[in-house]
Amino acid sequence: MRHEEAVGPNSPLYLQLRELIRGKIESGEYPPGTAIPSVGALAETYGIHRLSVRSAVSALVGEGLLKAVQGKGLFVVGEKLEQELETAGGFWQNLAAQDKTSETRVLCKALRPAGPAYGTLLGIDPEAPVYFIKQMCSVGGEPVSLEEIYLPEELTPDLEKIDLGVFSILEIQDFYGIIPVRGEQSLEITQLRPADARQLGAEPGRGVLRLQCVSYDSAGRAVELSRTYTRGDRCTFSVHFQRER
Amino acid sequence: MQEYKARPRERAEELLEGYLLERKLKEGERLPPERELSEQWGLSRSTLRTAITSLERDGLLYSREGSGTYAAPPKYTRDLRGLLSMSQAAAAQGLAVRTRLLECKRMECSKNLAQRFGRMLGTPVYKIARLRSVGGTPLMLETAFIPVELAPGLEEKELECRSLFSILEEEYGLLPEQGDEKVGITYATAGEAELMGVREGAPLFWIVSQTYDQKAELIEYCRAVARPDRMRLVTVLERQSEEVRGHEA
Repeated sequence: MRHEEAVGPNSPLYLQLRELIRGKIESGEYPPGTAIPSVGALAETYGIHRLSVRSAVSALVGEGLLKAVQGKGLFVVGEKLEQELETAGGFWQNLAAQDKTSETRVLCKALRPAGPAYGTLLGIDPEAPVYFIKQMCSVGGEPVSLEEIYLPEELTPDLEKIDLGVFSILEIQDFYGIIPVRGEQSLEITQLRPADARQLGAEPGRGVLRLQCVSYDSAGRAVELSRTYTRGDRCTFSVHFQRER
Repeated sequence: MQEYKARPRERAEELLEGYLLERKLKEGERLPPERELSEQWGLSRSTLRTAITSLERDGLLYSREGSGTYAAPPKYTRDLRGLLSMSQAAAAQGLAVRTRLLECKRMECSKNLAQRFGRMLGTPVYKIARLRSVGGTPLMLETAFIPVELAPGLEEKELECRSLFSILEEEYGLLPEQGDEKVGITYATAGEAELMGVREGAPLFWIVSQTYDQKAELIEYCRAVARPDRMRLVTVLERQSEEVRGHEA
């Protein structure tokens, strides 16, 4: 471990800055999922050369404490729970183009009351606040699905500070120590409202597959409700089944 | 943080769904009159009407001319985890299944079927088409293919009153052990529409399943269409962290 080399006032500036940033991550001043100040801003604040700032942060990126995202900045990864999750069952999406790059674009992120529908599904009070996230997933530049996610604010507070373009919901839950262990999935066919259909590039009046998933942690708390609307002409869902013993 | 502003139609659909969920409305229970709901929720009548129509299409509500809007019967839930037959699963949900045998014949394997079953072109297979109805509503049209060699004389069995899997197990010792199912969307052909009581071009589930026996041999290949307003497919995704697995061990 690098921590063994004691960093003091006589140590090179990049090492001092490295430990300073590490400290701020550990103390929570830079919370997981958020961006730290830019290289330029750090250079200016501490009056040191940008190159020194770069070597400080690149060491932290190397350690896995920070994640560098092209065009966006440096994000705190935080302490990862060592969760090597093994999944069993559940639907998986079959996409025609597996080798193409997929991309998620956040359309809306807002705090709102759960309301009677989502409150009932999440087992919380209709007045309880939830984060509502709507995002569009594209594969190879073509829209494939629209996703609506509801997260109880009580379990994932301060979500507004986290960049959803950088971290997946699963990674974010990880930051809060939430481990979803069970997802109850239900697949139905519905039609999108005209505005959503346009956004997804789906023909109005055509059916879309709606996969609803309510995720629970090991204590049986509902931690997330998601509804994914997928173009029926772009993909199918598969599931493996086995005789119950 | 953005202020969340739901579009009126979105809000109307959510409120209707919430009304059904929160009050656990049972089949045939009536919703308050549209005028009352639109006033209570501050929605225009036409917005509420549009929302009701989309919930009707999704099989959550139904309307009767001049009498009002009612909660629809619960959808048949097809649980994809186990290998329960449709009749067993329906019975557990308090529903009765009726099966109508539309076709049962021997045919020769096409290239596609031959490849699936790993057999020679022209190998005899049974083609069994059945229409399954639940509570009097046509729900699913299934076309199953089973190699004749595995189940000789299958056409003589009571295919309308026994489940195909129980016949395979009890009469031929073929134990359906595992399989996979692929689900997509298709649109009703004229023939399907007539059999299933939907309009031509209505969206239907398109389900292709393959079932393997205890020796991992493919015993049944099945293609089906099903009415999405009367059926939903469910399953459970289980995740276990190392830590949890460690505790259980």
